Amino acid sequence: MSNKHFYLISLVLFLGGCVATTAPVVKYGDSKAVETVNTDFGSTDMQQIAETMSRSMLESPLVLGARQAPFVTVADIKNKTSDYIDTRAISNKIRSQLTRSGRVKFVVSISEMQNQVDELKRQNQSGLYSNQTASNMGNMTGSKYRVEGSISSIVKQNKNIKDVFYIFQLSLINNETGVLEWEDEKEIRKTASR
Amino acid sequence: MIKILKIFFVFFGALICLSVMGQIGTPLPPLSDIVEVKPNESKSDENKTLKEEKVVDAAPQVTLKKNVKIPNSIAVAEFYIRNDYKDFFYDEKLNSNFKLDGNANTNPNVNSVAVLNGTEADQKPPAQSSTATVNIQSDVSYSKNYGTRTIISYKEIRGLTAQIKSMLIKAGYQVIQPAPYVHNGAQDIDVNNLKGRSDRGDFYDAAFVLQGTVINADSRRTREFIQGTTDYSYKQENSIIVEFNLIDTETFQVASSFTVSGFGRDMYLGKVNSTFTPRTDKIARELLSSFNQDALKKIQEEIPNLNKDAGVSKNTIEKDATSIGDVSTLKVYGKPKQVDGQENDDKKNPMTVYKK
Repeated sequence: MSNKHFYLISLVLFLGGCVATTAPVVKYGDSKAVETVNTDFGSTDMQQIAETMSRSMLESPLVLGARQAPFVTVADIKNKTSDYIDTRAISNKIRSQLTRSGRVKFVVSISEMQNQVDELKRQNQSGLYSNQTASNMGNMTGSKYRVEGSISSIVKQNKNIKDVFYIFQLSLINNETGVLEWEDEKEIRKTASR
Repeated sequence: MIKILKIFFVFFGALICLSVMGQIGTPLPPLSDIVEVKPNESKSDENKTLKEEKVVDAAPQVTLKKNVKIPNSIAVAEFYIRNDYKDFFYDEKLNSNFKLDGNANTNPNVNSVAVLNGTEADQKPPAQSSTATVNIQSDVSYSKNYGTRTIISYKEIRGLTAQIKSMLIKAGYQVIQPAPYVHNGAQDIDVNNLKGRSDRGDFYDAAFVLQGTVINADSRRTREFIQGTTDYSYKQENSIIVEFNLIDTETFQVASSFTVSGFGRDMYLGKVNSTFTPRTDKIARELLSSFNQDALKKIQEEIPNLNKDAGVSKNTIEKDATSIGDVSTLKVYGKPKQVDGQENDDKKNPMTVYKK
């Protein structure tokens, strides 16, 4: 190998290394912009579902006609699709929008009970807190209603087209009577073609 | 001289007779007018009037014997809880009695005649009779008794009526503490026999008796898993339900009836092998608090209003609006003295009142 070839190969390797270590370009985008990367469940789907469901629940006669904000807890939202979907993120987003409206009050859900119990134990059983200021045990507020739901999907595809149909269903149930006080659903269709 | 003496004696005799008649004053009634008076007969008008006077005199005694109820007074009886427990008994007895009597008797025949001075053939031995009796008597008795007997007893629960009494006093009633019920044997009056106890004077002439009967008293200790955590809640819960009846001691009518309940709890959050020691004072405090709250609510709703026509209760103290009391020192301050026509709050003369 001549010196000419050696220098040429070294230059190529140098330039290649420079290209490989170049920092990625980061920029902020619109969080509410439509995301169409693929047909998987995405942020736009979650935003649509949360907004539609919370608006529908706030317009229900139960919430509109209530003199005092009803106490609600979030139960499980089941994922019946074949994909991994963080359903707790969906329920938290719905809860945030409902809480911001001020017409619904939420109590801790089952998934948050461990923290609640630990805090009560710390205040009541550690002996570190005065009786006057400690939060007493046995005074938690029970919710009158619970929110529960599910998300399902139907997927169909061929060589050129992939069609995904999502349906999200949410219900508000009276804990005492078991009556279904409100229910709504949101349908999303996503199609990808080559 | 003798004549003079005779005239003198005659004169003095007549004078003595006249003086004796003058002391009596009125002539004796004729025998036909004298009537023998017997205690149960009323033959004359004079006797009738005497009897009437006796009746009039006896009337106050009757009213004194009759119990005069104190107006607007309530005797708040302590609660009694019925305690039934079953006792198993077993009694087995075996009695055996064996008696053996034997009797043997030999007697010469009294009919045989011994021939004296006769031949040998004639000399028969004297006839004899022998009797032997044997009596055997055997008694065996066996008894077995077993079963369960229910023993009913009443326990007195004290300390639950303080707030009720306080409420009644504030409402203007005169609250009377009844005599404690102590059972004195099988012939004693039952605790629920209010008429018998009232006649015996247990309620001290109270117009009403507030009788509380414990319907249910429960104590439970539980351990429950808390969903969504790795902890358990350990609980000790006490509850009581009491039925109250306000009974008129004159007519024994139920003037009012209501039910009061109380609930006390202590809990502990811990893992599965935690040791829980309940704080009984906290449970009792919570139970009393909830019981009293419920009782005061029901009393306000159910207890009849004061009968103002019957008189004002003795213990209704008309409080002076200007008087100031200090609960801690039991001092009552009178009206502020007026200095130059204006009230001077700084100069208070405390009048110490020690409550007995």
